[in-house]
Amino acid sequence: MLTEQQVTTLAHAMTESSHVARFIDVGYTYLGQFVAHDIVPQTNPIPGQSRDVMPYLNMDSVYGIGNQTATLLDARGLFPIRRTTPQGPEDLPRTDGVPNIPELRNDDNVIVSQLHLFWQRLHNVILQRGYASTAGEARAMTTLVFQLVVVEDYLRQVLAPAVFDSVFRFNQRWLNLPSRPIAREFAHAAFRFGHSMVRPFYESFPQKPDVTLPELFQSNRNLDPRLELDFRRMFGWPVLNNRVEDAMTIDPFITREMRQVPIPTGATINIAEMNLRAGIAAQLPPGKAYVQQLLAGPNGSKLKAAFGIRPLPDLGPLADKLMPSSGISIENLPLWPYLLLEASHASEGKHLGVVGSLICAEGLANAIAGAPHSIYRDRWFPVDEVLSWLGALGDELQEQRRVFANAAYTERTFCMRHVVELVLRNN
Amino acid sequence: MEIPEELVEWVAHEGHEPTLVVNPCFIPPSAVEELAFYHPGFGNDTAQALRHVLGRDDNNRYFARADSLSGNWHEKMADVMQRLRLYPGMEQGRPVLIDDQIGNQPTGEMHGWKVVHWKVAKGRDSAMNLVHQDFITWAKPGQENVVSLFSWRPYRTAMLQPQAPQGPVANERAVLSQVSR
Repeated sequence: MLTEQQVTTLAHAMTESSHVARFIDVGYTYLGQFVAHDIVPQTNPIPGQSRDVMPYLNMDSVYGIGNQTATLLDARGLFPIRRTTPQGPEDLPRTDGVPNIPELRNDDNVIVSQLHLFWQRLHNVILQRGYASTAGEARAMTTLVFQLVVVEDYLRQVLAPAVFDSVFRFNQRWLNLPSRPIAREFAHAAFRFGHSMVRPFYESFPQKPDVTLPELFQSNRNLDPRLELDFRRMFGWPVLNNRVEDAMTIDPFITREMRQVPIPTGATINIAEMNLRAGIAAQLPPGKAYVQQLLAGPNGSKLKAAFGIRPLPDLGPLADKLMPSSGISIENLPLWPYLLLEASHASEGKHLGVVGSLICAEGLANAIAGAPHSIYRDRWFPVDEVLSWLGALGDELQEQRRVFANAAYTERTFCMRHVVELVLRNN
Repeated sequence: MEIPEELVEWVAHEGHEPTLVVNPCFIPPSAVEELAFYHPGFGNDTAQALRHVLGRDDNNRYFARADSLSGNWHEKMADVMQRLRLYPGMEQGRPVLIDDQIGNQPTGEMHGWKVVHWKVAKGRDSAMNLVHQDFITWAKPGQENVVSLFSWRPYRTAMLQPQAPQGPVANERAVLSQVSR
């Protein structure tokens, strides 16, 4: 386990620079954050403000649970989305700036808050266009579409392809992670990889050409009209060079601006330090020891044969940033940076490595399989079949797929952009 | 495909892997904070790869163009690279490649800076190794133009084609480009 000084040293080294890539559109960074907020409890809960988080990808962060749902909807079953001014952008319903949403972390920054708003809009569109006749039906449909995007689009990009196919095509489980409570290695290490994808600034805001990362943090206040997003500039069509801004690479390097992220209490936190401390608090073993435990476990030989898993030999690009006198080596590197390093080794940061992918795949497979509304029903169904469950909404999404079909879209034939086009149509 | 003599030293030949961006790289102080995020050679632990191949325009003039860019190029910079048409020429008696029309292309602004001119020339790194160097001219309203630089290792023609005949060189992998840009 690292000492306090080593945690500070490592966090500093990880936040000295970060790397550009062309692989993953910028919106997916925040889709990942939205997913995390739905199923992972807050690292440092604020008494009275943090909800009980269930480890099921059921959009409780949007709909709440039990009777709470009815309090969030109007008499027609719609989310009361409003404009800040007659000409202003649509925003979450707020009272004195504080949003009336179950998951207040979804107001951490203006991108995740507008993603929250986006799913509310989808719910409303489903009702207003008559795809569903009750709010309950609309919730079920919204949740299934969301899960479909998570698996077929998001995970298709961020997981090692062999792991994605194994878990989501062939329904295999390798780690047998617990469903509830959510697995520690998922919540406190692997599914924090998205922090490495955060950019130092953003160009997706039509009203403001460059928005720095600190400017995104606008908790508990009305949406600044200059920070209204164009979702078509966040989620492109699934090809390289789609002229949509990209996330940074998945590697152990976090943008420097993440050293001082403001939180609603008024303080700032260093995200890298927070993640390292979360892993320590959860008593996670170092990354190399975790891999060795896997290989020594009941599925060890199968894992080795199927994916060629072996412990990383050294700190790779992290070695240049850490003095030998720091005492930090591949032997004691915590699981979170280890898995980021694995991504760097595996694909130069294009996607997670095998171990990181296995943890994220199983964690999310469990979260979807356990949800009351789920695209998993004893097995994973093809996109066409899931869409056929959705009636006219499914037909409309199929129409989006036909209209925007392109021979180049070989891997992700259903993606967030299809849903964006559906929601923004005539809007 | 045959590579015209004036482009032989600038483009990849059959069997050449992409080359790598190397030092020296430079952005003038007045623009470094704004351009470093996008610029080749800055902020990557993994070297950026690129390859130059042959193109031909509607008037049957040959030029060099870039392809096979690695994934760690910024997409806007990659877009500029892929739009380049680098025509061979001479400058003070030395061979160069120049694209003086790139400024008319619909490339993206990078913190307000736009690429308006591109020149490739031969140079030396600090160890006196031969490098090819791209001199990029950037314009931004209200600012003086700046010229930045990155370098790349030449393709090692001599090693691959020790008995190259005089005249045009075979290059089966060179890709012709006649698409209008």
